[in-house]
Amino acid sequence: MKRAVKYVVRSAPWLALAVAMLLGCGGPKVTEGNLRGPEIVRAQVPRRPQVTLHVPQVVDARPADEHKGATVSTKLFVFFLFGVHIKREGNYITDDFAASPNAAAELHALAVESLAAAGVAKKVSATSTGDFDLRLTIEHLYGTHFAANKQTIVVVGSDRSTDAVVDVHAHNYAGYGNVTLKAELVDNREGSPRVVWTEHVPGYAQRPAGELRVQEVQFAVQLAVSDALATLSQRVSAALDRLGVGPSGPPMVLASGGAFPSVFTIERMSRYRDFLERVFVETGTGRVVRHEILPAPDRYASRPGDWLLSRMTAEGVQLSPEGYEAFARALAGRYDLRQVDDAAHYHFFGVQGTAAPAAVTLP
Amino acid sequence: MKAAALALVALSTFTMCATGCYWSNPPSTPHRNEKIELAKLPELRTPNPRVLASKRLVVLGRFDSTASQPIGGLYDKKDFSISPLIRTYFYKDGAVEVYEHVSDGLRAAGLFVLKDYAGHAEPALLEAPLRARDPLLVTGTVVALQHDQIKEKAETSGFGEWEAGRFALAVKVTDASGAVRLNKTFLVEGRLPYNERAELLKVLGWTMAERLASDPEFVRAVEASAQGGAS
Repeated sequence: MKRAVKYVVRSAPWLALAVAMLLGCGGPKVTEGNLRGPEIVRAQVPRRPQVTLHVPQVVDARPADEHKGATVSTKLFVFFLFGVHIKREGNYITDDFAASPNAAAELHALAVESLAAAGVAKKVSATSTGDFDLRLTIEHLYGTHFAANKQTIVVVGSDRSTDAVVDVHAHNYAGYGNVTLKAELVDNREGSPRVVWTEHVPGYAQRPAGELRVQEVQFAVQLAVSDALATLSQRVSAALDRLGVGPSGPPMVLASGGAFPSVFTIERMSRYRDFLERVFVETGTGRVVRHEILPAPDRYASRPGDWLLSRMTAEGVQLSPEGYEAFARALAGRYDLRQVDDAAHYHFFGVQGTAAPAAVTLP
Repeated sequence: MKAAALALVALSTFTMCATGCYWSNPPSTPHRNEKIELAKLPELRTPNPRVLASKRLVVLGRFDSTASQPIGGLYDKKDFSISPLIRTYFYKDGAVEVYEHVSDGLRAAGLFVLKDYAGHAEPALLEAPLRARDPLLVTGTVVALQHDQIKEKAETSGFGEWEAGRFALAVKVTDASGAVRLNKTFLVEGRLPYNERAELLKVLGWTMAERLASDPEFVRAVEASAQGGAS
């Protein structure tokens, strides 16, 4: 009995150390987070905004688990007299401190800044009324990574000495940033406000696995915010353009009997949606006069690989819906244009009668 | 001796309390991913939407998404040292990819579907030429999209490698005036044997289209009627 007690006394420091290690003492310190990440990279497109935009305070409607966060603390914990075996598994989720204690206010400021820099409207204001209101609600905003590790410490003792055998296995997983904003565009121009567009705007980011995983997850949140705000600018621009008051400027109206542009443009999305390929074709001769590749202003503007008759003239002016229809009808006498499955574009299959369609959208 | 006993008791108590959940069942999947149990999932087959006929033009808005990243992970349940989750996957284009496949599937079912890439099929944002065709508008929000790869002991002998997925879509059908005809969430999930060419998202998208085409409420909302067998 005396020997056993002596053994326990000798082992206790090892076991205490093991428990302290396994409970995470000495882990990375979490610093206070904020949402401002790197500058948002924008496609360089000419902007002629037509209206003013007001962005009221952002509503924070995140679920409770994104406020309080989670640590990888739920685990199977087996404790033996002569050793400790612990398995930890689960998800780290940022809390308000790690993501941002002022998420709604910060996101509001960043959204105003980002929409103004993107040239979405003549004036983007956080305070004064505008032709349109853009209501934003945070539905999700958090960083997370999965974690799994197991550690076994076995104390081996004798009368003279006490040693420990330590076996540690850990697996690092990538960190992710997730943001979902609910956006509503309200038209105030005709007296009573009217919601004209509603969409969930997501932002995502991934960061590498590694020792600095909490910092990486915090950075992923910033990148996801930037991603969401870049998408938000693009989607709000598209909605305003649909109403004819967007940053693409007043659309060019073409009449069926009038003169048509001497050059038309066809375009297709690259395979991985990174680039837009534009080809400028002389209307009368079918001769290609220019070919350019530019970063895709909207990654999801069409199916990759399909050639479409662009709604943009060679001078960079957006055609009105009616103008586009009239232009397509005029071109259809010479060029093979068909409405396949895109509500806003005609597919382009080359000069009439010269070749079989190069691409056909199923079915 | 008394001190040693106290130390032992204190250490044990501290250990037990500190964990908070001694026999807990910790999450074994990334946050907001579902734990997929292969045995409970149907095996996906080549979708074959039922043939519909409708005189109405359907405009399908670009899907938006509230789904999360990672989109899924690689699980090796037959050989792992710490966790079956070997790695996680990031794929931010998932919502638009299933959008393409759902659209293709609905067209294969016989509906005349045009995609609204620039918009979300909002009644207020319909352009005049399209509005003149009096379309029905379908908006879809991807509320869950998960794609896992799972290696595990096969049901019979040896080992099985699977692609498993889960796709939930909140669908709203309105007419051009904005009157709502349907508001319903659809879920498809299933598994495919692993194959380098297996396109799980495509199969999930087409299966969703098949589900929509066989749902009486959706069929009614788009003013379609069944034309007998599958396409």
